[in-house]
Amino acid sequence: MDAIEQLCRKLARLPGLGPRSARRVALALLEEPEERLQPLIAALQLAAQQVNLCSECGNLDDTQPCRICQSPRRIPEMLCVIERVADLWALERAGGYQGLYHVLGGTLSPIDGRGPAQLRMQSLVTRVQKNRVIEVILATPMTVEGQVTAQYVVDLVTPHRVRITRLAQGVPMGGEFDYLDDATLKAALNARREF
Amino acid sequence: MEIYSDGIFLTRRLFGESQQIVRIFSQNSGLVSGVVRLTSNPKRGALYQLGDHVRMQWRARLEDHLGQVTLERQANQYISALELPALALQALMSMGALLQAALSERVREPVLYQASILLLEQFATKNWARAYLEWERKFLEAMGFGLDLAQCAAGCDRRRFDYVSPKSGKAVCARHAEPYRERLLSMPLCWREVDDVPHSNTVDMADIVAGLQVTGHFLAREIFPEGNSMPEFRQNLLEKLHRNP
Repeated sequence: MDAIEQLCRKLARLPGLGPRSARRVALALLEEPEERLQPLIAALQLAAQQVNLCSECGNLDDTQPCRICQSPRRIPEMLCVIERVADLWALERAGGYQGLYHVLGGTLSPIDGRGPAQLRMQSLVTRVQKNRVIEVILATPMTVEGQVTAQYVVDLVTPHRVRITRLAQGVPMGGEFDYLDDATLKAALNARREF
Repeated sequence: MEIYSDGIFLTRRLFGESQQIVRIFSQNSGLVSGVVRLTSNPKRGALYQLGDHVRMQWRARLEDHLGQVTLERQANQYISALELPALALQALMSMGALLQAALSERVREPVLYQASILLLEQFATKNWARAYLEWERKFLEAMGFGLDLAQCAAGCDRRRFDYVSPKSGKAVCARHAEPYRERLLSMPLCWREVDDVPHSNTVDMADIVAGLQVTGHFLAREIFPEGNSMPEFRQNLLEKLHRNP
């Protein structure tokens, strides 16, 4: 296999890229090696050397612990439990949350061979004890697996006498009823509040 | 080739970046797998959850192909899995795991399908635990290992039984059970129905646990023997019921 073919195959395995788009990316890189290829190689090497999982929360960062865990402006007694780092980024983009995170690394799914041992469950309990957490916010996905995972977390942290909350479900900003699925609309109705 | 059927949504797994492989327990064709395209359109399957009642269209060139699936949510949804309390959700997961593990593709199971629909209806009520226990009995029956609780294994004509034989799955009366009592499975009170003793409608979780231990024995021996372990959700359900009687 020649070098270009190998590059195309590696690129095609990345999310969002198929064989054709991988060839376009490879061509764009190879046509301008100084401006595109070399900086990309340097950035990839730097990321490979410096980025790692935060030993506290499971976030990806180039510091250990990550910047969020180190920040003095964060409230360590508040812990938001999420499935993946992408969820952490989404919540950070939204702003408004000042506590810490705990990335589980997946949801419980025996069918896919993921049990509690494969997730960061035990370190969650350790953090709840160590940080004297007063509130655990469950932000696992609104799927059956997410719900089962949330209930497992509830079982784990309940003995530590923390307040357990869960993200609200309902009508999204700018959402029109006609386009909402029945389950979301029903959840929104059930969770209505005083206006 | 096409299959049209009502069904119960079981699982979905990501297949590449933009597709999912879904499994449906269909009324007309048993377990059916197929590919749905992952879009934000709920009709294509992305938003379906275990226990959803769906109308399915499966289409492929040949019968043994994986096939493309189109789903439509039925108006009469029996449950919303996300609204169930913890134990009921565990039971629902157990139901889904048992169906997936034991059913064969495209083998019609009309009795088990009806029993599963009945169970889904019951999940919204307080009787879900009893309904789940009955569903496991139906499940064993559909798999060819039904319990025979109408007659004593010893052949006597008594109609009141306290035990179940772990070998034959037949009921055993107290008199004939005496020499083997330690080796027999205790029959839950809710199965000891006789004409002169009406069954109570109240749910005793300890009784449900006793029943699940009986069905669990036959599930482990007949359907999930060594090397083919019982689904974790089924085991977790029993543990959780033990802890929260």
